[in-house]
Amino acid sequence: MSDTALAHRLVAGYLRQFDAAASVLPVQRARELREQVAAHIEDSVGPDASDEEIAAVLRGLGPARLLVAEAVAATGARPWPFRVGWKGWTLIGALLLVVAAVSGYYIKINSMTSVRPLFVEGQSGWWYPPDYNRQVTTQADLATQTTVPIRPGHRQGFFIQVFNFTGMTQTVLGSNLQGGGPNGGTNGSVTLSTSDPQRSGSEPHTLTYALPVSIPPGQSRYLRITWISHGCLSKLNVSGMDSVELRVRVGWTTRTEYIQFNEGFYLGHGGYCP
Amino acid sequence: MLDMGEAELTELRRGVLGPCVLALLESRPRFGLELVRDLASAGGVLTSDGTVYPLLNRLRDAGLVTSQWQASEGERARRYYSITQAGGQSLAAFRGEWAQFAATVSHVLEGETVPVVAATKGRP
Repeated sequence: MSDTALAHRLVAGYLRQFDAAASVLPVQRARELREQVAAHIEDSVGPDASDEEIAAVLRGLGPARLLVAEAVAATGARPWPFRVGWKGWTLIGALLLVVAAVSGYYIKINSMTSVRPLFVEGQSGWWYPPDYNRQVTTQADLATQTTVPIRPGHRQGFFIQVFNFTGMTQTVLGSNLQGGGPNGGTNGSVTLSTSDPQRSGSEPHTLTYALPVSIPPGQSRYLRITWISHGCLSKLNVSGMDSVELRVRVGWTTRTEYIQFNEGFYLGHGGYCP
Repeated sequence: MLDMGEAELTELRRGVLGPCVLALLESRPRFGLELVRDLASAGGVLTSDGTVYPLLNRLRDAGLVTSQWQASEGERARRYYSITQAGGQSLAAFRGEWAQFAATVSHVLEGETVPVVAATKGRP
């Protein structure tokens, strides 16, 4: 048995209620009032007091919240930042962290999706000598088109240079060509140089091409598109490409970038077909 | 829930409790429970035992009482409250006001003529 009535469950419960209510008081005042209440109880009943005796003392003291209300009326409440208590501040801190994390996430996502797409600039041309040796360039209005004869059964293609002028690395994952090519071409291939031609100064054909390829901020890559051509085209018809859609990962997001070429690459009638 | 009469009585008790505490301390220092019991034995002054302690703290903040720990032989230490000189002066002033105030209230409640002194007191 304890040598004080303070250990009694009814008293302990009352003091818990008091502590909860007294959080609105200045710390020193709350501590002092608690000490007075505890002394009142200890002076009123001994350690072996019955539940009824203890309950009578606590009834006489009045509800803990009213006792605290009296103290607040007499001395004023604690300034609110201190009333919140460590549990309250912990909760507030946790909530702020969650809000900050969610906000940061959405800001990051937004910044990723608003990043400019890859930019076409620099070198471009047909990839294979039979093509670039026979290309015909025409201009109409502001559009430039370069046309080469279709070579059925042979691989044809071109390259362009793309730049990442953003502050985030962009990784090209694939394209919308899905293995096709102009005029029903097959075995299409879309790859990028694995290094920056601007930095190496290398000629396009000496570089290695692969997919996926990451383009760090401020760097460029050659985008090479080739396919095996099929069929023939009449003198009045051409088939080619002046844009491509690339699947690009920026940070955590993957998006489709529409890449408009500075010139169109077209296949037309030529000496390889009757 | 308090009805209107009880609420008014509680306010009245609250108003006179301070001077009553000072009056008890005037005779000798007392510890908390002792004060509570003396006030309770007077009858009708205390709303609840607990109200004495916030009041004691307020009186001490106002410089009307002081407190100090005292330990008797074989007993645990207790905080004893004493009236200060300012407390004595405040009590004396209250006693002077109270006599007139109580007389005025009695007259009003009993439907008698309000004494001139009380009726004009405090007017600009």
